[in-house]
Amino acid sequence: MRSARPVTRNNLTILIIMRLRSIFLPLLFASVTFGAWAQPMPHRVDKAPAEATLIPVSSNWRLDGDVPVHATILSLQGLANRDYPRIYLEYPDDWQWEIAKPLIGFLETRHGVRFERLGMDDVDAALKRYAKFAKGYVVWDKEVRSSLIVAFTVSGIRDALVVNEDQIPLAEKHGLKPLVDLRGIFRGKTDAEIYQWAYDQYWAECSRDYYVVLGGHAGAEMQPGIADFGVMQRAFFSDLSANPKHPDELALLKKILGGQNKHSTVIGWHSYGKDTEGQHTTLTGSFGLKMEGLHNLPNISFTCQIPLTPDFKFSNNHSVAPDDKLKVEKKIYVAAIATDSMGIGAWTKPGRGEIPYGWQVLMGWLRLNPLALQYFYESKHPNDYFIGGLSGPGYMYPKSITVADFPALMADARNLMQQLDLRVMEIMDYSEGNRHVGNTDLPKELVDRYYHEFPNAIGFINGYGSARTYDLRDGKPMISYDYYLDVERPVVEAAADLEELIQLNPQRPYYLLMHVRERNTVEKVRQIFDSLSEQVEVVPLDVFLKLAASNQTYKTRYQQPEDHIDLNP
Amino acid sequence: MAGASPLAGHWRLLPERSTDLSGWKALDLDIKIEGDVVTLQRNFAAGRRTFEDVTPIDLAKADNVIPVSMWPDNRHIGAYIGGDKTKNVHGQWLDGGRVFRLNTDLVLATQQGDRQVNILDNFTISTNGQQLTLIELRSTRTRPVVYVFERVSKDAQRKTGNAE
Repeated sequence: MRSARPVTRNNLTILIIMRLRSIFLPLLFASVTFGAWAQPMPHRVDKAPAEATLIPVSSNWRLDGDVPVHATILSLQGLANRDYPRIYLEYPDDWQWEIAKPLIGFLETRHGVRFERLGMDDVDAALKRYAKFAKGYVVWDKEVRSSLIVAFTVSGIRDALVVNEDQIPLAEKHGLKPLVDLRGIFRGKTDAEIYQWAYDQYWAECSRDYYVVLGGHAGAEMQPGIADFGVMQRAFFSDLSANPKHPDELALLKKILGGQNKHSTVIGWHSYGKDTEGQHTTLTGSFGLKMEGLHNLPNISFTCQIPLTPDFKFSNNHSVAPDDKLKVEKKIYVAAIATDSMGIGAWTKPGRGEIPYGWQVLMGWLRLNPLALQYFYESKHPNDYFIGGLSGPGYMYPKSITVADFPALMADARNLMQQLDLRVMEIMDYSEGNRHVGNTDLPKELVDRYYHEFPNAIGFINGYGSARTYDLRDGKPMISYDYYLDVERPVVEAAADLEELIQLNPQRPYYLLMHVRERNTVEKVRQIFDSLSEQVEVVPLDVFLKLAASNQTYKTRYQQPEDHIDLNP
Repeated sequence: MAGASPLAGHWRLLPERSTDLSGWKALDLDIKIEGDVVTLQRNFAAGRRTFEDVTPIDLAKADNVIPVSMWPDNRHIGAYIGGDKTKNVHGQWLDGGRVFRLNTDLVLATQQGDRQVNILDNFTISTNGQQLTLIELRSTRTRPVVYVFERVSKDAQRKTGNAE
């Protein structure tokens, strides 16, 4: 099947590797061991650009509002940035990934970029500078939401500016000609039919390294912040459903995912209107694909190209050495960890640095967003400690990864952890449940594989909501979250929750691992700890794990055959 | 007395007047009274996820042993139904049928093992019969849980919020 594919820029790299492999097989085996089987790195420049264009975009993301102009700007950004970082978008203050603005200052001060700032949504000025990177335009149908998603696919492989009919005069003013017109052809059709049409027309020419699921907000709103990167990579876009209630969409989605390169990336997010996070991520993992989950992750076509500054080295705040053994006391030890992607959480919010705090690093950003990683590592406080995740080299559910795919994916994760100076792997699995129903635990056989694949880890974390997989082997614990701090949970109730856990677990030491849901601030977490009637010791996660290794008061437990399973309807 | 109890009916949680619902976004409570048997049916929801349990209590019995498939009462904490996965429940009417009280014993499983827990539930009806207040005291919790319900038609649409 693979040999029948047209040779594109993206799979050309794979073909070359395959040929080299036959010549240098032993050498390549060594490379695979260290994760070099991973997909090709996006284009990267030697040095950040001295000058770039900054385009502020408004906070209106309605299809009947500013989405049309934003779609045009995003497609232009993807095309203009394809071989060099030229356009960076300034997103509004309420954008979910809140680091888009801080990175502007970081690019200026740390990377020496000088920005020319255009007016808000000034697509005319942007086209004046960058229309030359488009070969024409594709027209989406204002009456059919999914036609815009198809238009992004067309944009990438035809180098086409995305416009609706109102914007045609503007495109033509800048010398662009019509390439593809999607008006009228999708009306009355289902999404399965629309994307099948797009598949038949364009999929053969699209990237095998990136597939964009442009879901997230559904209906009248769309936040396609990742579209620039998809256009840059010539990715196929859709918001196809992984929900069995939509069998036609699911069948096509399986065909697309099955045709991507092994262990390549699905970027974006599932549609809130069609399926669940659990369903979609289970499906992508079953194909051995890595999920990079955020449909509105901004400016990746720009930031993926920015190299780390030569003087920078990834350095974590380790409080213990890997072989340290700590003396544990009869206390309540607490560690708090924020996941949900750094940047949609509390990094820039009050309180960071006041208490020891763990932050889960999306390790795939070493390839996709190194600029952001450098920003986080350089702005960390001594109390900030980074851990790896999520379950592997991307966002994956290990119970859905085939046994055959697991070693290579985990080798990739090991390599990323080493480069990022991470010693703890966080695991999450929503394939058989979530924090409400079903279970998020791991069977013993899978726990065995994690211990085998990560001999240098000092420990593992499991869960999202609370979970009950616990183990301790060779001084390396696997601890599940015992508490989930909901964004809406008031401080007094959260404190009562922790006190209830303390009552329910009377032995000392008691190890209370707390998952902090995205927008909760460190300040709120500190307030919760301060209001407890019992004294607890808040410690860095690596210390927490070493303590948990010293005196096991938790019972070893794995997923049991009778544990309830819920397939995330 | 029981047959005429205003407790019977379909009730819906008023989140704005209640303790935060510990992971769920909606709770319906259906109460049926047939002779000495009071049956509580709870339906929790968060986004598309739902969980339902049914607790029939025979008031003539000092102890009702009821199977429990899951403990949904606080999904934020690492506590799960443990022991033999049953609960022992005793129910009684108080104040001439205006108040219904449940006394429940169950075992919760935690990271350190099984832990016995006692739960006292007081169901109090407003004088106009339109509001039901449930005050729950758990032997392991330092704050009471207060849920306020309004009487609604079973078919009334409810908001279940979003969940990942």
